[in-house]
Amino acid sequence: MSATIGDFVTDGVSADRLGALYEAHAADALRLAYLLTGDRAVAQDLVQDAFVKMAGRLAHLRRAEAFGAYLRVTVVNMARMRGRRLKVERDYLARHTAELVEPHRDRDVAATESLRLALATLPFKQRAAIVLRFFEDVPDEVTAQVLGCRQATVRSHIHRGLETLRAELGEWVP
Amino acid sequence: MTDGFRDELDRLAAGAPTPDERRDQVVRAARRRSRVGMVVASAIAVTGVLVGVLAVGAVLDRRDARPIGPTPTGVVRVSESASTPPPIEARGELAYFRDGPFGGSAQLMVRNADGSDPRTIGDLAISTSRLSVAPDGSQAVFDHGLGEGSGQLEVIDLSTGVVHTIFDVGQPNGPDWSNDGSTIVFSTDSGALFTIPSGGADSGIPVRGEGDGRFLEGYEASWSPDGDSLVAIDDAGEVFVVEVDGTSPPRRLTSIGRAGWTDWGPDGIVVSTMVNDSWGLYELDPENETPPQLLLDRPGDETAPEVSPDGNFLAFIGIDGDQQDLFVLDLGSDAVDQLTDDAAQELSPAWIPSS
Repeated sequence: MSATIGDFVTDGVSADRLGALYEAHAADALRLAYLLTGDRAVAQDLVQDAFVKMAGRLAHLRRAEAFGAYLRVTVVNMARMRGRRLKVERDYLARHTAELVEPHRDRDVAATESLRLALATLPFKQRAAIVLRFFEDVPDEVTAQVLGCRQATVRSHIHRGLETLRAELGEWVP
Repeated sequence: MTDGFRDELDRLAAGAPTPDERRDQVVRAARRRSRVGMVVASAIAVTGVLVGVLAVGAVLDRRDARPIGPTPTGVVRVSESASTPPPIEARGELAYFRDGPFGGSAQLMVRNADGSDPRTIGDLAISTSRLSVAPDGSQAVFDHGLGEGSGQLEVIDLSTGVVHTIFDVGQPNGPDWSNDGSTIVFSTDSGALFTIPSGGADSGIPVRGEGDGRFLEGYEASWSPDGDSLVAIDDAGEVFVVEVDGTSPPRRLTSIGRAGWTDWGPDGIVVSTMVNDSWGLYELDPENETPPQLLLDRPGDETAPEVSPDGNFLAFIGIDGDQQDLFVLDLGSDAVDQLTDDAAQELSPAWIPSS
C-alpha cells in the first residue's frame, strides 16, 4: 500500500512510510541522477540528499502524488548545483574522454560507456534537456520550467547537445 | 534512430545504483529531517497562524496565495501541470524595509512570505541597514543612523508601530536578536562586536572571542541557533565563527569571495558574498567539513539572506540593474518567488517567528 501525505501528517513520518516512499521513487531518481552525473556514487549521494530534503517538506506538499515530480526537480537542481561546483571535474573528463573511450571488445558495453562519458562532457543544461526528453519523456514545456529557460532554448540545448554527441559517438545519435 | 538512442540511454541507466544499497541509511536520515518538518508544521497549527494545517486538504487547496511578480530569468520555477509539481508555498511572515525612491526614508513593511497581504507598520524617516525580529515575533530591532558617527538601536512594536530606543552610544549597526530573545548583538562604527540585553542598556558588552580582553573586530554578526556562537565578517570579508563566552579564538570558515551578509539558520550558515563582481548566496558549514555550496543560479545580485525559522526558505534581496526587490527561495526545490516588483528599494528582510 502506498503512503499518502495524510498518513504523514496525522501519524508522523514512520520509517515504514518513508521506506515505502523511497521504494516507490528511488529507482527512478537514481537512474535520472546517474544519467545527469555519470557517476554511481555521486548519483547515490545526490538522491540521498534530495530524498532527505523532500522528507523535511512532506507536511508542505499539496499533492501526495506529486512527490515523485518534486523529487525529480530536486534531483535536477542538485545535479546542476553540483555541476557548477565541480566544473573542474567536467573539464578533466573532457580532456580525458578521448583516451577513456578505448574500443571495447563488447560493442554494447563500449557504446554505453562512450555515451556515459560523452554525456558527462556536455554543459549541464544540454545534458539535462536531452535526458529529460529522451529518457524521462518530459515535454519541452516542463523541461523549460525545470531549467528556467524558454522552450525554444530547450530545443536549442537539445539540438546542440545532440550535435556534440553525434560528432563524438557517430550517426546513430539522432 | 531516435529509438536506438533511447535504447542506449536505457542501457546506460541500467547501470545506475540500485535503491537497496542505501535504503536504510536514506530512510534514517529522512526520518530525522522529517521530524523537523513535522515539528514546524505542528507549531504552525498550534499557534493558529495557519489554522488547520492538520486538515491538509484545506491548506493544500489554497488558491489565494499564488506567488506574485515575474519569474526571474534563470530561476527554476515549477508549474502545476500534471507532470510537474506546483511551487511549495513559503509559510510565515516577513518584515522588511522599503526605501523611498529618493532615499532618506524607510517604511517598515510586513507581508506574508507567499507575497500576499503587504501592510505598512511604520513610516520612518531614517537611514538603516538591518532589521531583526524578536523570537516571539512581537517586535523588531533596527539601527537608526543619525550621521556624524552617531546612531542608535531602536525597537519597533510590530502591532502598533510604536518605536523606542534601547541603545544610543556611538553608531551601532547590524543588530541581530538572539533566538532566546535575551540578547542583541551589533557592531560599532569602529568594527567591534558588542552585545546588550534586549531590554536595552547604557553600555555594550564586548565580544572577546579569545578570552584576552581585546575587542573582536567584525560586523554583520548573526547568532547560532543555540545562542552559544556568532558568525560574523572581518574587514577582509572573511567569515568567522566565535564562541560568545570568549573561551576560544575565532575560527575562519572556508569561504570564497568577499562576504557582505551572514545569517545562521537551522541547517547552516548562509552568506552573500562577492564573486566575480556579483553578490551570490552560498551555504557554509559551521564545522568547516564541507565546502561552500552555491544556493542559487540567477542573473543579478543576491544580498541580505535570512533563513526562515524552520530552515526551509531563504528570503533575500535581489538586485537587477535599478531594481531591488524581495525574493524567497525554497531551499528544498530551489524555486524562487519574487514578492515585490516596484520602483522602491526593498532591503533587510527578516522572518517573523510564530509566537
